[in-house]
Amino acid sequence: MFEIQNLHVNISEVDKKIIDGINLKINPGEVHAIMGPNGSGKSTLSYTLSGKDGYQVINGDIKLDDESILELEADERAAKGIFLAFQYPIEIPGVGNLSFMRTALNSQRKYNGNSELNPAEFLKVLKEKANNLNIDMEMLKRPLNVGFSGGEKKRNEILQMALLEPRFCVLDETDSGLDVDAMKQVSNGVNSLRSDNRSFLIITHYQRLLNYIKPDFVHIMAKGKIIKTAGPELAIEVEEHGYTHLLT
Amino acid sequence: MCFDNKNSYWIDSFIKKYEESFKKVDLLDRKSEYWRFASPSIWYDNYINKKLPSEKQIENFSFNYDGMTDFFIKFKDGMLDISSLTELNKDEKNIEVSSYKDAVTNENHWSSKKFGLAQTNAEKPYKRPLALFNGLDSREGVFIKFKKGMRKKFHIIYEGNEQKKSTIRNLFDFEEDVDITIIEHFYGDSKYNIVSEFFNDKNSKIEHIKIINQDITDTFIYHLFGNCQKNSNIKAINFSFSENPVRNEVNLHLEGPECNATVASLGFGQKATSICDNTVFISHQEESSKSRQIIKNALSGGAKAIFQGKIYVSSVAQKTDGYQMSNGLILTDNCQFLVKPELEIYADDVVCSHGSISGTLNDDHLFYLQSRGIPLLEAQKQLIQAFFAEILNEINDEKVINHIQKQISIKLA
Repeated sequence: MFEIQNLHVNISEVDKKIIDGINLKINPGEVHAIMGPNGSGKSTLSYTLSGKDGYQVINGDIKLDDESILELEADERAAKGIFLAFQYPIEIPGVGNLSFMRTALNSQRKYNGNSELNPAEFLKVLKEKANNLNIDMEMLKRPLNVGFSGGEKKRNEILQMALLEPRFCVLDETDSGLDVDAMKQVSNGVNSLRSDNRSFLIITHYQRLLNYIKPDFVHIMAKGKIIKTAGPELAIEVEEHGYTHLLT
Repeated sequence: MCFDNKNSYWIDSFIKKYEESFKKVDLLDRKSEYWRFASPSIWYDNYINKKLPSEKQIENFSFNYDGMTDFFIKFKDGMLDISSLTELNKDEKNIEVSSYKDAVTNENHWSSKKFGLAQTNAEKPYKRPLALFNGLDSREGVFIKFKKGMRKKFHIIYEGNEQKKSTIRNLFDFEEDVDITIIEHFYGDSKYNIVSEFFNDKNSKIEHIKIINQDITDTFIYHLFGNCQKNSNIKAINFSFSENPVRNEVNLHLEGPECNATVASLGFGQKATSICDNTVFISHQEESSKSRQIIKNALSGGAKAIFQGKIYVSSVAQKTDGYQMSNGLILTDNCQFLVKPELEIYADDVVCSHGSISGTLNDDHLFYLQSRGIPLLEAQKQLIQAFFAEILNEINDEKVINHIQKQISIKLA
């Protein structure tokens, strides 16, 4: 189970409080969506959960299976099973996509006491995952995200998710920059990874992504707090009426 | 200077000329732009008078030469291993090879018509005092004529002991349509001052790779002087892993039209004793030539890197395409990357650009890698390797790429 307890977060660079007391429990297999207007703290929450430097937890806790992860570095959190699908996946010239994925998988395996995969074993696993997601292996021979279209970048994120098999996935505005077809492809990928022991936190502005990835719960976030929680119908309400009436 | 009586007239006249020029050069003129970032004494006095503190190296930096059918030439403690020329001499149809000694004692040697010309082209506006000194001091080297259409890869291996001086003068004459790769490997407890003159005839394709391994314990100086004719293609790529002063001067004179020249350098220094100095001058003398200069240095532990690069375009060299980029990756805050990019253009229909960027590892890149489970140290290694990738992409030889990646990995261990 993933649990956020009374979380308060400052961004160190500007010494400004962005998250102002969030509580959230996400059970294995559940899909939660967080919606909210610009500046409500959604991306700050995703970076805080995944352990990015500069996001200072000044109060509260984040727990995975009842153990605090606050003291863990980003790579340790990833190896424990936390995965962040980026809103804007970073382009890194000179780092090969394949070599990056193999290093990532083997780093996590090593952290968890498993043997590392040799190149042949790794390729076999990767091909299987890529086939399941209809991803062309040619894309994987290029430098990490360099020259990828918006859709390719997001599909590459989903492939990494499939490869690393995390237990808790945060999707930070995965729908941004995607056309309808690309959004369907990415959503199908996410849906194929849903399972009883994997949970998701989907951050989005719009209800349309939730047409494809059906959430169990929808939370509205504003000014660093969760101000309302309900079922999927809450997303439809936001789509029809906007956020204003919820904020007043 | 005492001339050898057996020397030919032509080499004696060159030595005399170099001696006169050398006397006129004020080696301690620190106001000269040529020495803007590094005192000449670092190079000259170190080479002549001092032995730098030498640390015994325990890593094996040797290149994997197994299974190669390439040609090999060897130098030990500054002396040419004549026996290493045996295989080359068997291929008379394609090459003509002489030791320096054999060439300069032969009044009619083919090299007499070429010797010194590329260096002379490079002496405007600055004399090249370290190359002049090489001209006075060298008694060893290899002169090779690569005959029309030849295609082959050569390795020249330099090894040394006890910080002895290796002052070596090479001359390479590439005839039309050759496709030649020369890989120079420098090892060991030695000082080096090498001058290589390249004469690249029409349609020649030359790749010159220089690997200064990290077991070099003393001063390293190299001058490449190249004259390039119509539609010739040259790549000069330098890899420096030394923790001691390295001065790499490349001067290419694109005499013919439609030449293509690339000068690239990868430097990785981790100690305050490390200076990686690339001084590059590419002169466009005719129309429609392209040149690229790509310099990358990763620096930590107080290491210093220098790049002085110029693209010169004469008034008739229309349609020139010149590009110059230098990047410094500053890994600790006591390092310096000193840069002086220059364009000197007298033609009015050219495309020339230059740029220089220095900085640290990108925090967002590091976080992305860490967010996938890659530990910080490994993520840093990946990004340093990525920083150098543009230089490695310039070469196709897998063995060289593997060797360079291994050298980088040893540095990062």
